[in-house]
Amino acid sequence: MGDDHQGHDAGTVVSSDGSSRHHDMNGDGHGTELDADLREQLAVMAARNRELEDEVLEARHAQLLNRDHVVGIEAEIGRQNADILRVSADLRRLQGREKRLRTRKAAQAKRIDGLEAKLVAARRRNAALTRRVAELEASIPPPSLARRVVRRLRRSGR
Amino acid sequence: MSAPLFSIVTPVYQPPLEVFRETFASVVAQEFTDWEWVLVDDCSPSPEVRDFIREHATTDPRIRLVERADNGHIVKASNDGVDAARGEFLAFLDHDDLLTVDALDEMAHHIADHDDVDYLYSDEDKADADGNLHSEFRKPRWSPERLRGQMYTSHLSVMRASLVREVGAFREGYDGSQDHDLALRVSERARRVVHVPEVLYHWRAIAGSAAADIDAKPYATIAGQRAVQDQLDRLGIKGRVGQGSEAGRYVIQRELDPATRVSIIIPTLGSAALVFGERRVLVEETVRSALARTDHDNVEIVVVHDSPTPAAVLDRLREIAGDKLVLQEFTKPFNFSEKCNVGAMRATGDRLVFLNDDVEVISERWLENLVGPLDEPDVGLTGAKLYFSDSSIQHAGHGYWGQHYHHPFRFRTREDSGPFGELVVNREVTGVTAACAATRREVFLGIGGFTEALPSNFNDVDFCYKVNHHGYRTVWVANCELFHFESQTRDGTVQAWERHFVVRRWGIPDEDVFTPASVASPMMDPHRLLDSRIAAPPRVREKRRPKTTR
Repeated sequence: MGDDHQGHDAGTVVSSDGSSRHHDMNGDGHGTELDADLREQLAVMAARNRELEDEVLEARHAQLLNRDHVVGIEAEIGRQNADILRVSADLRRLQGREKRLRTRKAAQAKRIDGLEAKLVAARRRNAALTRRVAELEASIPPPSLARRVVRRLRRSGR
Repeated sequence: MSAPLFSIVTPVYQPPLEVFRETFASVVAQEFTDWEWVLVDDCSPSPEVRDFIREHATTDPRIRLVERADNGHIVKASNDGVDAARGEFLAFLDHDDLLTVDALDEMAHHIADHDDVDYLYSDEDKADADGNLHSEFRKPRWSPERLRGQMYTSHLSVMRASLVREVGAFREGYDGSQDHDLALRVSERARRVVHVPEVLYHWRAIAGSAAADIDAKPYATIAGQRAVQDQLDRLGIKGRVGQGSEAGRYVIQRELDPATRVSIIIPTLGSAALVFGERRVLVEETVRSALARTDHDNVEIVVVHDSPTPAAVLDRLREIAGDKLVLQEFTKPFNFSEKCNVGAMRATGDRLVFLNDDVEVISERWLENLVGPLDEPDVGLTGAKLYFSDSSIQHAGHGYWGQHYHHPFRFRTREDSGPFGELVVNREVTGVTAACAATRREVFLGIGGFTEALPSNFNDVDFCYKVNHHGYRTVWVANCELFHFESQTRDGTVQAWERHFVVRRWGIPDEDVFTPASVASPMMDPHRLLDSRIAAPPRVREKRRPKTTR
């Protein structure tokens, strides 16, 4: 492929108004025909060039979108990992607290059991003592009339 | 005796004894005990403080007094302290300031967490003459760009001693900003810089001190400007450093390589609106002002226009931008992200600037300042300072905290410098608005551009998260100023699913590491204020009884 031809392919020999630098040297009209062909060819190629440029832009844009998607997913994973770490730390803290509370609960239950046993024994002892007091009171003879009168007088404050 | 972990270095020159006693007490009260204290008396005229130190040095071997034969000023005295120090890390303490009791303990914990840490700095506040604490400065995560704008790390700074010596310690000729200069040089070589988000230092603010008023030492700001310029020169960053709007703040005018091709991508519908009392086609003024206020010539303007954009508007754009204009028709339903992506695909520049069509550039050299920071390979995104039409702030960087995405400092005035200079210095931020943002082409492609799943809202938030996720810094540029006639062109209603999309990717925003919520609260929204006044029940005026004449 010659240089001139390459220039045509690249569209570099066309001036800004689209006219070709090839001039009709013979003046027989053949050149004009050639120019028209070239212009048509160039227009097609320019259109194709624009299409390709648009395609490249679209492909780059698609790549950008894809990159954003990937970065977004990375971010979500990062955020989720951070959440997992935070939640795991919270979980560990809560588990520790639960363990401490469970131990404390067991100790409290044991203490309650002990206290309940003590309470039962105390109630039993109390009942026995109450019975004993009743027995002793029953065994004491009633006071004499004179003593009863004295007590009443004392209570009345005379 | 083995070397301690910390050497506290304090140059001493004639502090009031009662003030120094408090400083002294704050050091000896440290919970962490593996330290030494190197006090360098810079030939104080009065012997009382010197005697006080001598007396304590005899009973506590951790306290060492270095006595200078002449008054060498802060740099020489500090360097004597550095020379005498035996510790692995140097902690710098001024002779009238106070450490919190846990200061060294906190630092030690962070050193233990990171083997490679070379520089640590903490939050700080100020103590007045009565001992009241105020002006708590909650600092950002390590922000190299902000350090160029102001000495924000200052107290408490702890540096690896070997690195301080490697860079030549404090430099003569930088008095007053010698700490800023050292921080810049150390941070350039530091393997890791760590922010300790606790107040560990009370900076004494008494009349005449730099803490109370930096104007008290004007020579310091001149030295600071030189220190920052030196860093730019060392790092090969093209730019000129100037004084900022207040003392101790510095602005950088960036320069762009003429070979750097910049593509400005503007999505538009070609709509018109009333601005400053005139009806204008917004995109025309956007393009006109963008080209007028830059000296950079290697620019293309990629206008992505919806099909209904009037042909007359496109013609006028051709007149304004000439051969710099690239028109790209967009025939699909509205999707801001897709329009930006289409524009970016069409663009040929190495630097991509995304610009809304409802902005007007205010500041000269806006493009150089916006795009310049992207020459640093770890900067992935830059953003601008945007104002509403009443010149109140619309955007000074994003802040993501408390389950929401915020515009910190919104509605503050244009003259406001922010609580700690946030509004007048360039600084690292978590995000910036895409209304005006710049990135490098390879960063844009690497992160997948704007997500088209978010056609309207939060696409910039997601974009910023992606930039950060890929390890790049986002820099907000204070000296790139534009009006943003926001909501002139679209409805700003946010849908729940849009928020869910971002949260699904990036989680619920909790704390912002660059703009702490405590310093970033916006001013009262004037529109909300107006709403509440309109909604309030009208005040009924009691009818005045006519005065009766007897």
